[in-house]
Amino acid sequence: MSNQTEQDKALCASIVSKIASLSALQLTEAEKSEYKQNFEDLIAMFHTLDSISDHEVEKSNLIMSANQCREDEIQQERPPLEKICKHFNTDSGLFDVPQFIDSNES
Amino acid sequence: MKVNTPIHEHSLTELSAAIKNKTLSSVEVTQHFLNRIHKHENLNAFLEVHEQQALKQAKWCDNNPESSKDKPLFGVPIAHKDIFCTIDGHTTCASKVLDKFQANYDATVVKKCAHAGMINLGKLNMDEFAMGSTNENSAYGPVANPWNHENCPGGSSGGSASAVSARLAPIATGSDTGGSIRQPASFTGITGIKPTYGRISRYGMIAFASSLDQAGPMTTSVSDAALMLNIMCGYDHNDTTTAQIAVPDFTKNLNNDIKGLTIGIPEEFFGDGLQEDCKLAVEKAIKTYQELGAIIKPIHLPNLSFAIPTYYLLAPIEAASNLARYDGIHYGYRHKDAESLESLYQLSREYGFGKEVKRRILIGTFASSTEYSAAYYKQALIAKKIITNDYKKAFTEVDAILTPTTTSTAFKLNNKDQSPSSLYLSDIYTVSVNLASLPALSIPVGFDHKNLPIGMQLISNRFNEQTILQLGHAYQRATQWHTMYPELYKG
Repeated sequence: MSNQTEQDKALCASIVSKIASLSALQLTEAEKSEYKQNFEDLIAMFHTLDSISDHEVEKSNLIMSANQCREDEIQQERPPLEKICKHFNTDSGLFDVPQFIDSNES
Repeated sequence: MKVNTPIHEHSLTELSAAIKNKTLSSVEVTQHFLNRIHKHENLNAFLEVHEQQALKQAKWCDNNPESSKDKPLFGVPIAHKDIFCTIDGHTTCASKVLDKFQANYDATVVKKCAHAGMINLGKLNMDEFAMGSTNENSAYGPVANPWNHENCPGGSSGGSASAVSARLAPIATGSDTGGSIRQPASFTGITGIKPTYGRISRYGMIAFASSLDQAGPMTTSVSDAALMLNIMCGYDHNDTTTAQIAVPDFTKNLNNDIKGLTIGIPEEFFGDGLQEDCKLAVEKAIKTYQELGAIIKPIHLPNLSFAIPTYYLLAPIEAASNLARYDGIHYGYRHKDAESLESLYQLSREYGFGKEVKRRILIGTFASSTEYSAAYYKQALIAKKIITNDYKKAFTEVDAILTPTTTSTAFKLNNKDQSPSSLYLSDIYTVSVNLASLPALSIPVGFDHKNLPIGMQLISNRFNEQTILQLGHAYQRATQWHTMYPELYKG
């Protein structure tokens, strides 16, 4: 792939193990090496999108970044748990739930 | 009904009429297809055959003919891709991680087919979690192409395509996230339609990339596909992405004249990467349309080259999120040697998922991670919008767009020379349609020099499936390609 940079190669070497643990996958060494090669090819392919500018899309359709979305609204302080649920036990910090009685034992 | 024609050569309408007027019994038809499934087990198209249940249902249909009212396909068999949850049998999505999983509800598609009176023959093989284009990614072995067993049937709906092509089922359901109905339909010489996103409920269809996934029928003709759309489409309160718009009778205008309809031919689809035989066959089909009175107009879809990177960013990002639920706790496979909760997750996923699924989870997790999402995910969303705008502009000038479905005919099985990224590139003609949420139909238009089928794709504007069905049907009335199936499976 033509767009592959030294920076990408360095990134791929370090990234697979980190991403695997984020994905809850335990990879073998052979898999890590194979996926590293795949990542190099794919990242080069993804770079073809670098030439795209958001000016090419109508303003109303601009996509907000994930961080902007997260900062959207500050939530108001929640009421205390004991007000939300009458079964909340303030001493233990746990919810009191009805006990289930096994019908076979009664 | 045609006299002396084998049962498996009849259309859905013919089979339904024959069962209703008692020329054939449902048991006879069902048993016929079950026999063919057993005879051709070597295709590996079916993961599970629901023989007893299917025969029981068929018998019930024969004993209760009065129930056929309002059931357009009463007593007619169908087979479902194993991505659809069914109460009967198992639902594995061709993955070890869902081995022996039993769903406790039927997918809306399955339910709708059952309400139409259809009998479920069983579950069809596929690429694991619908990720792949050769059907070699199934945890239960690859599927063979009935036209040549050394070739793949395409994917991910490879089992569906192989079964319909070999006439082991009169119709099969499929799903299409980036071409998974159209590409295998093209590789096996059958008809397949991916409707507009939102036309068919995804409830009970195991999620791969939720913003792109769409179910559809795989049949032997356009008229059968139209009939199946009547059954499968419609709003479903269990899937809020289904469109709340009226479902037309897709069979109604099939025979309308296509004279005066404008078909756009995008230059970008006929470049260097296209196999010569495919190019010639599609060009011949364009001539047929001209003879039928359609207006042919060259058009441009200038951003087509962005479709592959865009798709292979967006789909894995959604897949990584959708597949996070398979952790060894909720479903299916659980690794026995785990010593902690964390290692239970990791080992179950490591041994439960196949190579391609893991690759896509890794890509998706990477591209959606905080550090890289701006560089990749945001760019992909912008590219998706640009591709959609190209199509929007094109549909102000033309009624439909005609392209080859694939760059080549069916790949060889077990092709070690093909890297994942080179396989991804072969999806170039189909993925942009999913990114723009459009409907598209693939129909057979000939064979290459190795006698492998070639497919043509017809694309129309959102919620305008009728135009491509009308065009596809006009072509199939003028030609015989769709009636052909491999010699080995005749008789």
